[in-house]
Amino acid sequence: MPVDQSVIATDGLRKVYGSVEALKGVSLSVNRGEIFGLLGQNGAGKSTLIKILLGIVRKTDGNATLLGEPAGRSDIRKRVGYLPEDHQFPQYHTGASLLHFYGQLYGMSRADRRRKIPEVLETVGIRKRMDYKLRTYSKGMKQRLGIAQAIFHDPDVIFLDEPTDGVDPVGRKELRELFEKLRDEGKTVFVNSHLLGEVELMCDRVAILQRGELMQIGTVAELTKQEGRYVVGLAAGEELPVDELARRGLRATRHADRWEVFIENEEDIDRVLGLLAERGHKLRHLIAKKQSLEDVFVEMVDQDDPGVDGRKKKTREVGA
Amino acid sequence: MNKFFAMLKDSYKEAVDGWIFTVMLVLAGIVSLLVFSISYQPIPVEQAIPKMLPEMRNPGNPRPFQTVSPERGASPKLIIYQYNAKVDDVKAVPHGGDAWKDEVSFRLKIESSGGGGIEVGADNQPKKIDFQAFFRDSFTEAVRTWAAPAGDERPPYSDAIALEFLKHQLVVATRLNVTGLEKIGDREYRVTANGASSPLAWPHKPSLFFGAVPLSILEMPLGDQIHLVENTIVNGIGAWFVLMAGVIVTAGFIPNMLRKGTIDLMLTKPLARPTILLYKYIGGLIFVFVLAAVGYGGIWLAIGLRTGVWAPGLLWCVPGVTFYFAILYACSTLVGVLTRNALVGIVVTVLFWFVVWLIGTVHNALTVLDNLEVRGQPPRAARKADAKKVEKPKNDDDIDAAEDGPPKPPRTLVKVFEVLNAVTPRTKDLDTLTSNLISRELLSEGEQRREGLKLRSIDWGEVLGVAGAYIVAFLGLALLRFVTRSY
Repeated sequence: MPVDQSVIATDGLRKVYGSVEALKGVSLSVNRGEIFGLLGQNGAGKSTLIKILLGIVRKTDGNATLLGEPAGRSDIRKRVGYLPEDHQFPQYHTGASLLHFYGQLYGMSRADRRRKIPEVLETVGIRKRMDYKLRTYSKGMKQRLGIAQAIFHDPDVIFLDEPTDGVDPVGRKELRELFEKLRDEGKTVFVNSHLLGEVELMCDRVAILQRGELMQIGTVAELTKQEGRYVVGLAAGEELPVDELARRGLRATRHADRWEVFIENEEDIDRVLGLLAERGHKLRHLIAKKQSLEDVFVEMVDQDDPGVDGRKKKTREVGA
Repeated sequence: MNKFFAMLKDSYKEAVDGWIFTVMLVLAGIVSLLVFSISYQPIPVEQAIPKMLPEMRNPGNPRPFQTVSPERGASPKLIIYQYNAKVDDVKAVPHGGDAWKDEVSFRLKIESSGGGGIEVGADNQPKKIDFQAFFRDSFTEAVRTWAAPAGDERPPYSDAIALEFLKHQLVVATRLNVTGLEKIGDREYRVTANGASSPLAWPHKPSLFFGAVPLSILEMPLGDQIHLVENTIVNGIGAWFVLMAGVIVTAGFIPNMLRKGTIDLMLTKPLARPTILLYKYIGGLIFVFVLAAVGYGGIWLAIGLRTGVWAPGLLWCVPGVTFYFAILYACSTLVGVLTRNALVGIVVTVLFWFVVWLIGTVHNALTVLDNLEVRGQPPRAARKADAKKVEKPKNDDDIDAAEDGPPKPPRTLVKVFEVLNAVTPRTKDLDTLTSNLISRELLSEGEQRREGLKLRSIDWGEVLGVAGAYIVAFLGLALLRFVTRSY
């Protein structure tokens, strides 16, 4: 990717809150026209990273640029949309009046606002409720309005913190399609989410943040790829000759009625199949094992003490 | 500018969303309607003239007729003498129009009650008490004091000077167009006048609900009645309500904006942080300005429509009250930024308001006691022995020898409150300003002189400078915190 395509870049970004180091020298780059997912446990530093980019939080050290300008500049925010997690809109507004208010702050003309507000509310599916006070909105409707306010001034970069939180499955699918459409229009969508299935489905690239450190970054395929593992299933009552495989330098472990075979290179699977043929076993199931993003994430972070990240981290290099 | 109006509109929506703003507007509407329902009926000449020269009842609230300025009224000093003016034998020549324009003649009888010589200070409290005057004829003393040239001895009493003095006092106190004054007996005079110079000077009979409920107790010159409504009810009680409602409603503006999930949205808009906070601050001021404008304007309109008196003084109180609120709201803004809690903002602001008021009140009281000059007071021991029977000394030398003034407050205490008053916003002085603005066109010349005395005693540069410094300091600290804080 050419350098000039990078719209978000951080280099050795650090943030210290008192004695807590929330970000420990994070360096990453997000390109124009991609959906980028940032994963991490609670307290991993995801929101801090976004807030530094938006100027809500002051960095301690390092560099951060947004659209080629130092992060935090107020004029650049005109080209940025943001949906914070747990956002609270002023309850005295209606959906339409809130967008009018924000639109004015973005410098949009009255004509533009009048034209675009019904359009964007239609896009997120709450146009019929545009003149109702926000205190009558459900959580899902507020979330949809949050997305509407993040995109309706036509920004180049959109930061979404838990964008599908509280939205029903059908709505999630619609929103995924919306984000993909925005990406296709050349906009950059930066997503923080705990819904790993969602991230896996829509993100082009993903980064995993753990205790303020960037642990992995790459495409979803790169992160979930698990080379050298095959799952083997045989006809009922048959057993995989695990001892013989071990003698031949191959390791296999049993999981219920199937076996997971570990190989070092692609050709080794032929040796496994050859052995099965020699012994007259009937092969019923053979598949190259692939991890889900959730597997990758769970493997990396601590499950015993969520949000505290007490377990020793594991680092893995992935080619970008 | 577009962004400013957006913030302003947002603050307006926030304000009207709560019930307090609505209640205040409804209250303002009800009071305006109530004032609009007051009918003012000019009372007949025979009853009106005595009410224009009321007998002096309370030295603490002297009437202009008994308040004398030396140098034939040119001196800024105001000295009270307790003589009474009895009016009878009132004869009117009706012109068929308004009673206040009728030609009138009446007999004026002056009765000395043997008291006076009390110089009034800027705060309407005694400044100098000359007990010698208590033992002399108060009317004679008043005439001599009035006629005294600047820096010179008081002239002896004469009938000619007394006539000039009475004519001057009548004009100052009653606003009658005095055309003639002649002595008809021992301190009895025949006064002729060609009506009053203004309907404001003429006593009217007010009644609520378009005449249904008479308010006979308030029969006094129309100007005094309007002054009572505007200064006491609107500028006193009303302003307090406006300020309190303003403090309560606007205390939530900043904390609500700083809530997690709301401030994130605001800070990601293309606005610099100082701009956001200043726009919010101005939004709060405009809220109070609108509230005051509706309340004051409504009552001003009601009074104007019912009396034909369109004195703009009350309208000038709208920016006055807003400036007053600007001090309180700057405090509330700072507390809001520091604590992000509306309740704490209200409590601290009201406490600040109370402390500032208390400092001003105590300072004024101490100043009165500290500056009080007493001459000729009988010894304290003698007063204690028989407080009611203070015998008249045989000569002035005896009085001077017996001089024994009241105890002065401790100098340290006076100094402490002088410093405190100097370095805190002088909200009591702002009250004086708005009160003076209202009085300017409504009261008699005598009343206005007293108001003017209060006003002249205030160093407006200092008052506005200290208040402005507080606003700048509060907002500066709030901005510093808001700009440097990570949310």
